[in-house]
Amino acid sequence: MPLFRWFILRRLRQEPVRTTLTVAGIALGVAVGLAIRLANASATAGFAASLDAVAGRTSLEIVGPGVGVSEARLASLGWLREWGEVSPVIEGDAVAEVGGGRGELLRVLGADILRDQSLREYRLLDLGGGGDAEPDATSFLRLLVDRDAIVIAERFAGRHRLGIGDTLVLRIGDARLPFTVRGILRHDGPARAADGSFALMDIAAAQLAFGRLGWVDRIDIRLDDPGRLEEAETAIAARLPGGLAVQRPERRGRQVETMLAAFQFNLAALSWIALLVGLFLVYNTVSTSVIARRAEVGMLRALGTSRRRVLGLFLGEATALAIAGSAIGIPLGRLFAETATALTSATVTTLYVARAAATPSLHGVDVVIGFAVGVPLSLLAAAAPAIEASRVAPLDALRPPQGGGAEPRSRRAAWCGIALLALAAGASRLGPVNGLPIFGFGAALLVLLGLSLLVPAALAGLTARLPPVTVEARLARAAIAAAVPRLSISVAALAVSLAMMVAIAVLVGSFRETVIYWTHQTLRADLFVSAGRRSSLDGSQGGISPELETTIRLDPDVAAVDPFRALSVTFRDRLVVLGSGDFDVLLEHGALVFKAPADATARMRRARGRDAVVVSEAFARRFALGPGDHVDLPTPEGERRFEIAAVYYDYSTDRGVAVMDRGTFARHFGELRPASLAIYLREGADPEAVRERLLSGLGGRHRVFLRTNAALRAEVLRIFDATFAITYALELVAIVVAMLGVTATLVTLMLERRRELAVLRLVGTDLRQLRRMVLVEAAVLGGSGALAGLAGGLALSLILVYVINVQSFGWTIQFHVPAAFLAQALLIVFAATLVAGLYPARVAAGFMPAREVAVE
Amino acid sequence: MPLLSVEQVSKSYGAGDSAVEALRGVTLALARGEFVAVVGPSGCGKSTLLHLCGAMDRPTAGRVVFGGERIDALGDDALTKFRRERLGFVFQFFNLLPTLTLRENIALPLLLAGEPASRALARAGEWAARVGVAHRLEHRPPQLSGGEMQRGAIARALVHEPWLVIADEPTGNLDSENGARVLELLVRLNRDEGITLLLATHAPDVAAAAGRIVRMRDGRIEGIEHRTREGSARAAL
Repeated sequence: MPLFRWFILRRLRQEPVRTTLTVAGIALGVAVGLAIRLANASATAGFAASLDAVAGRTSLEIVGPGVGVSEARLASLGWLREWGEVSPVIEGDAVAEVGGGRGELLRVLGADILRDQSLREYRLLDLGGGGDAEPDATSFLRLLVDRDAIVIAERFAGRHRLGIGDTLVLRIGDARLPFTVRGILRHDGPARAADGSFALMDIAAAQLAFGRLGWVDRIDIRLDDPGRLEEAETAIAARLPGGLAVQRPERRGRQVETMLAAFQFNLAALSWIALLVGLFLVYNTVSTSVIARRAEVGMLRALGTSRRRVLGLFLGEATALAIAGSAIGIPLGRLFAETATALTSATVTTLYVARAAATPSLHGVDVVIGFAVGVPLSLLAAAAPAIEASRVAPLDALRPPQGGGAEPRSRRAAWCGIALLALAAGASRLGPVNGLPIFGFGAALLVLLGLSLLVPAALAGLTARLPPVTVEARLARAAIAAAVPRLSISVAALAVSLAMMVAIAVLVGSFRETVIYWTHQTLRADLFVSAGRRSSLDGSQGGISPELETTIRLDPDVAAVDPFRALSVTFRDRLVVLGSGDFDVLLEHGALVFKAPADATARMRRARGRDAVVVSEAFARRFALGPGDHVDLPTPEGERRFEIAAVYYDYSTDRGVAVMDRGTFARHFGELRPASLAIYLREGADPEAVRERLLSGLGGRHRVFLRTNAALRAEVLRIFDATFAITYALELVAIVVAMLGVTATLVTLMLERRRELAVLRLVGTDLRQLRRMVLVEAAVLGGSGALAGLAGGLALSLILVYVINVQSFGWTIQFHVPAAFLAQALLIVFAATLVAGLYPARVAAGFMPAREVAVE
Repeated sequence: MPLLSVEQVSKSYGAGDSAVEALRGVTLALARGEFVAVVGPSGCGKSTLLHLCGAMDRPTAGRVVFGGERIDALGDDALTKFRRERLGFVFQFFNLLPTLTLRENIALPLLLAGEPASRALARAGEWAARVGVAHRLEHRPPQLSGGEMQRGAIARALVHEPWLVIADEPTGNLDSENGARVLELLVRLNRDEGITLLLATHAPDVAAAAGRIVRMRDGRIEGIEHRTREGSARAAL
């Protein structure tokens, strides 16, 4: 141990710059990986925790397909009471008009309080000071007896200074509804859901507010004997009429997890790239230290230090760096997680499921993961140089270091690299595992490794071709040529991070172009109306009221209206969107772009009035279905068989969408409020004028989003860009880490060449020439890193676009290289490497020539 | 007027109690075309004196006048320019850049001074021929023998025709045969081309080749021994 302290730790202290840069690299890598982990966990955990809080003592629930359970059927379900307490509920999201214009999402539970108290624990805050307790049923009932009565959670009330008797306006669907606060729930039971963004109403009031007269969302059951859960589930399932299903409440949480899995998996995979780049730094640092201290190691061996001890010393160096890096990275990750959550929660809410953005918290397990990822991987990165150190013979203390062997080695590495690329090509042809593109990411990793192995040959080739136009270029070229194996590590790290950036830029650019094309093809209507939330796919959460739809249809300038209804239903254990549109209007305006079959339009026309659907590309891919296949979709009457008439391109959600004609939909699901309306105007009508007129006709009772075609397209792109903001943030960190690597390498190189630099100074190199020489070196490193990154990135982008994207999300994306953006980004990186060269240049200029040369 | 004169020069390193006085009031003048050897035990101040004469370092006190110009107070840029144009260096450990070919190493002072590469490299070839390493021009230093490296280093020290060549133990790292050949080369250059040479050495036979031997001890000049040109030439052979 004292040997470790003297030989390793002291050295790390003596070279603070290199040590700091390496530790910073690991810290950033660990931090980013952890931040995404926390953000992902908070996305699902927030949902699961709320689900749990609201579920209370519920052990089973009866659900209908998307639309819930018709009240007409409740009477025939009386036998459910044989198993325990039963409570039908309405549960939905409303936007509370609080805190300025933004509003806050509120989870609203509508229940028959007399029955519900045995399933959930409500404790009312007694403002009279008599101590709070579970209120007796009748007094509770009295609180909720009015149609506008609402009971809110303590936290929510506190946040917005609401007291009993205050008015709270909720936006549900397109309606603005005023409620009066009648009671405040203690932070306990369901009131803990979504950090207190919870409200309770009487079930009748909730049905009215959510436009669900005659329906309940589900029936919650508390078993008298919770030990008989399995038995109860089987027995109830057997006795339920068609169209109803029994499930455990956790299932909804699991379905949300499945829905988010691909999105989160991709994010997680991306997030560890920064750590991968950080590991190059560890390898670099340890191998530098092995090379620089070869003679010292030889001496240690001569003095009787065993090979294993030497190996341990250098692995210990990696461990020390990794422990320091992880220790800093973990709290840093917590900090980054706030940003990551802010960036991802918008996406999750917009595209998948509504939830309150909870601040992620750091648990013991995250700390363990931080170390468990950082330390072993650093050891792995340090293994090769450490083993090399352990092979140093005692005599090496006396011999000068051997310079040769670089060329055959770089050639061998290049062949290995080519082999890995071939392997990557093979892996990219394999299918997904559990819906996750495991082999796709494997192929991406192989491309990155193959790229790294090709870097030495590329660097040597590029350096040899550098014209020695100035003396600085000549000196820089010679210095790089002599240190190719060492420099390759940093160049490879830079190339890897840039390759990721290029690939992601190509993916996002291609995707964006595709979406722009798609919106031009499909968003044909002049005006779009949606209710409440920004772009909800769930019509069951309110929707557009019939009177508003009528007002719009009656407007003289409106030619046609296509109402879109949508339900979340479970198909093959996944949540998909079941939608209804007006096929006539869709066909007339050509608002769908078909993927298959060739005669899709004719097939869709024939599908009207029949049990047939058109499905999105993601739906077709996910379930491996095509035109002519049949699907059994859940309806209130039980499963019904639908034919797939056509497959259309859709980039609005990767959940999978099946759309039926409005007539067919109404026949199976009844009349449901539409989630959105597409409005086609008469020739010559001014969309802006119609929009103004319709909005002014709404009055204060309704609130909808009424967008013109141009505004909606802009909104689509805005959501798109917000979705990918996080990927750019992740990339940026990886590039910063790579820059740290370039700086660290150049500094090391200067320290090792201090004698040479001194000679240069003595024979008359002035400081400007010296600085220029170091900058040329930095430029060659940055330039070759950028070129290799570009080449590797383009290869990688093929995997991202054609393998990973298709397997994760099921989208067809037109390949498009955002050339201007890439040129700009690579130039910036190149300039940044020059800046990264400034510090080593200063180090080089700081040597005292006389002392360096005199001392041997 | 002497080419170089060092007047009452002192140099100390460090400060306070730990300060080391490397030179204590040394005065010495060098005429154009002279060959002066500085001898003395390790730590006597030889190298420090050479560093001051070579514009690598500045004295703590005293004056260094070179070609009528005071160089002891010049800034770094001016000193660099001065070294580049007026001085050539030969070191014990050769100090060729291992990454450059021998031709590039020799041409380096000209390249740094902004001479076109073609001219500089051609001149390097001429000088290599004069010192006897023309057949090794495209090799890199690690592929050369010690004697070849030192002759290459001498060519580098002379390629830009400096006023003064400073050599610090130029034979210290060579076997006796190669040491003799390098010394012979230096003597010939001094005698035939009139190159001024200031050389530090431990070896009596090397010192014996000089026209004047300066003996140093504890940072002071202990004595100066004048020798005839003939004598020095004979001693070298």
